[in-house]
Amino acid sequence: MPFDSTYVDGLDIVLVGGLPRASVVLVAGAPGTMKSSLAYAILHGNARRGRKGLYVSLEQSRESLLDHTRGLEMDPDGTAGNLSVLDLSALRARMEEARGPAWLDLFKMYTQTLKASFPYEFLVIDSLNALEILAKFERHRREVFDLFKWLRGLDATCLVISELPPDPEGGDYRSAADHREDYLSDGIVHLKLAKRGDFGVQRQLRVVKMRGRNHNTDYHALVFDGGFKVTRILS
Amino acid sequence: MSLYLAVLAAGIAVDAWLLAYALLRIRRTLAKLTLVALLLSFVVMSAAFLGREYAGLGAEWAPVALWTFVLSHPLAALFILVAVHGEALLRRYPAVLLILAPAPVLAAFAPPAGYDLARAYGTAPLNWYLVLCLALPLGEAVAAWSRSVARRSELFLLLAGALVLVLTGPVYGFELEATGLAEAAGSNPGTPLAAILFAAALTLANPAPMRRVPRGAAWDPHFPPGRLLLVDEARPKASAHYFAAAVAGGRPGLKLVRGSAAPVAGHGSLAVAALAPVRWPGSVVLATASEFLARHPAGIVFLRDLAYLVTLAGLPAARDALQALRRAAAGTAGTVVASLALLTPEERRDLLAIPGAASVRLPEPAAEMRAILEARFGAGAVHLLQSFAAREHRRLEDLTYEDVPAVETFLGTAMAVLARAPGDEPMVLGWRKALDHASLDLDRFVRRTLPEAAAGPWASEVRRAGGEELVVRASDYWHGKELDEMLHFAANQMNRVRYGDRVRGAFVQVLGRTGEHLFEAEVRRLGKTPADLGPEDVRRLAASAEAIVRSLEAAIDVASGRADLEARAHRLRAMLSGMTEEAGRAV
Repeated sequence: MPFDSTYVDGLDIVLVGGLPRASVVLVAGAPGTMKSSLAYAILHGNARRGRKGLYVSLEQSRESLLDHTRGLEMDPDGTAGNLSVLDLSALRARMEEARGPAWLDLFKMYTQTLKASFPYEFLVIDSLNALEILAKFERHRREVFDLFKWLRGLDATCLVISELPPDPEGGDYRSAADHREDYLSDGIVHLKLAKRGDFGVQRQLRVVKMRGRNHNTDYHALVFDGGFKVTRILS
Repeated sequence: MSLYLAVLAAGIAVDAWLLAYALLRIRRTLAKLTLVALLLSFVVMSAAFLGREYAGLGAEWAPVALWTFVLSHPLAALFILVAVHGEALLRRYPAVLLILAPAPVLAAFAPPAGYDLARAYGTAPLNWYLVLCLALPLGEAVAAWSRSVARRSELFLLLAGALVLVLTGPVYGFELEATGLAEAAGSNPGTPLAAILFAAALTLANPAPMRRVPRGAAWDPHFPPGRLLLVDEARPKASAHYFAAAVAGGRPGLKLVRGSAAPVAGHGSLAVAALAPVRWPGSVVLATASEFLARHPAGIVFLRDLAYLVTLAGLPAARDALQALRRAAAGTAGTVVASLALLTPEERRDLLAIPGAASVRLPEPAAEMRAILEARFGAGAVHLLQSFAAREHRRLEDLTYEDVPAVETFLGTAMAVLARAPGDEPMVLGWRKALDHASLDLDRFVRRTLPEAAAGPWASEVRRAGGEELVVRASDYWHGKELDEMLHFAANQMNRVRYGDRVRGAFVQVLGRTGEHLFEAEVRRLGKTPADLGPEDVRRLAASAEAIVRSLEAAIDVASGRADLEARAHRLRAMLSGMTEEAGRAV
């Protein structure tokens, strides 16, 4: 099975080679765990090496997202046009009346259209929760199953960002997630904020699931220091 | 003698090649068979002569050489006569086959009678027969060539081939005898040249490709057997309708239409042949029709695009071709039908004067449908008919017999719309009665046979003969309501449904399922339903579609992706602006 490197220091080691190509991987975590930044970093790292990536933002505007990522030293200008941000948040005002299946169809139309004119190999959806709300998923499991099946047909490695509720205790993935997408995705990367002492908080990452890989299931520290690094947690 | 030897050897090769070519390429069955037999006799004749004279074949080959030499003469006569007079020759004059009868008799009795190959042209009565066999087709070819306009070039090639055979046969043989070179006689060095001319004539007048059809029924109530029928009509609709009815009844039919040379279409007992802009269109039409009638003596040949033949070949050649077709159909159960549609009045008069041709004048179905509806609903009926034509993306004048059921359904729906409009019960009942009468008249019109349709009376002419249009017709009123106005209303209602469907179709075609959602959202924004959309709404939707696609473009930061959406926007604009223009006309 071919793999796509994440170009995140230490993450490919945890994943035992990288992300399975054309898989659908959930990046789940509570607010502030840098899910979007990590997903963008994976896109950015690949784009700098000539592999095209599409970031679909359903909530954050393109300007806001790019300001944010520039602050993290991930300048889109350095990707030679290999990284595109599809700003669907701008359409929310116009499409407000057309909520429901229209949004899912709109999302599919865009991603398919761009696949033809901008053949991306990586796709980030930010976020699944926003898409669920806009598309008014009623039979959640069935609709997410259909969506993931459709995403696999795109022949791109997909990172689907999933919001988990804030967990002050920093518990593990099982306690935080409602397990709705677990069985449908090919992989799950869980990000959390873990308390360190009385005042400290550490971002941590755990590969909960990655089909077909004997990956490391421990929690690792997710550090940002001019770039993301995944390291062992020092006690 | 070595040069003569080489000429004869080359001749054998050319004849053999042309034989294979004729077998594979020529589509006129009888002409092909006679040409193949002739070429085979040439090959055997020349080979036997060469073998005997130069390769030391024994005396037992002498009768073979003499027999094939003799046989080649009546075969040449038969081929040229078939090629000149067409496939109908043997049917009309079977006695022509008697020309072959003396050949085996003369050949069989040749040695006892002292006939010799070297002196074949000098020994009576054998030489009389041989010369007659060449003189007869030569004379026929000259006569046909001098008379024909449509096949002048084709007949010239046949005439030239016959002349070559005479010059290099009897004339050359007599010269050899006169100069004492009798051993060279008994062969014909001109056979390859003649064969080339014959093959060229058949190639350039090769019938258009057509599929083989079942034998089928031998009779139908529409077309007279054994006749050339000229149909005087504005457009080739009525003739096509009755031709289709005859073919549907099982009669084998060939439709000759303008088009490229490639397609070989048709179904059931229908074959379709395309007349391409060839060099000799008259010859091709004649050969195609004759070949079909030879295969199906009870068949029917329909020249839908006679006007095209007139354009390609000229009026005199077209007239000549029609006359030849009349002769080909005569005495058979077959019929040749030619539509005079799209010809000028002078051209029609000229063709209708062809001796022996039958002619009928048939109505224009679109005009008849309009007249029938106007007779029942008044002048406003034309709006309904126009609305139906627009819905079908066609012009009013393009409507034909096959549209009648759909028109009746459309009228039924329109009447249902009217019934929902404010009005009292007797009025609705009156409309329904009018609709029933109109449907009955339309059915009666469609069910008429060709003789009935030709005999009339036609609704369009009855109406015209009715005199000056009344300012107010009694039928235009029903309980104080002007029917015209109500029909306008019904037509507009029908158009509204059409606009809603069409605008939705444009959105979906351009933007997929997203387009459908956007359309629904925009229609809701207008405070309407798709069924309520009128011509005026199409313009507003066209304007909002522009803004929608602009906002869709704004979400993308990739130039190629934006270009793709821009192209879709262009398509949507074009489709909606077409509808807007149409709506403008409608308003």
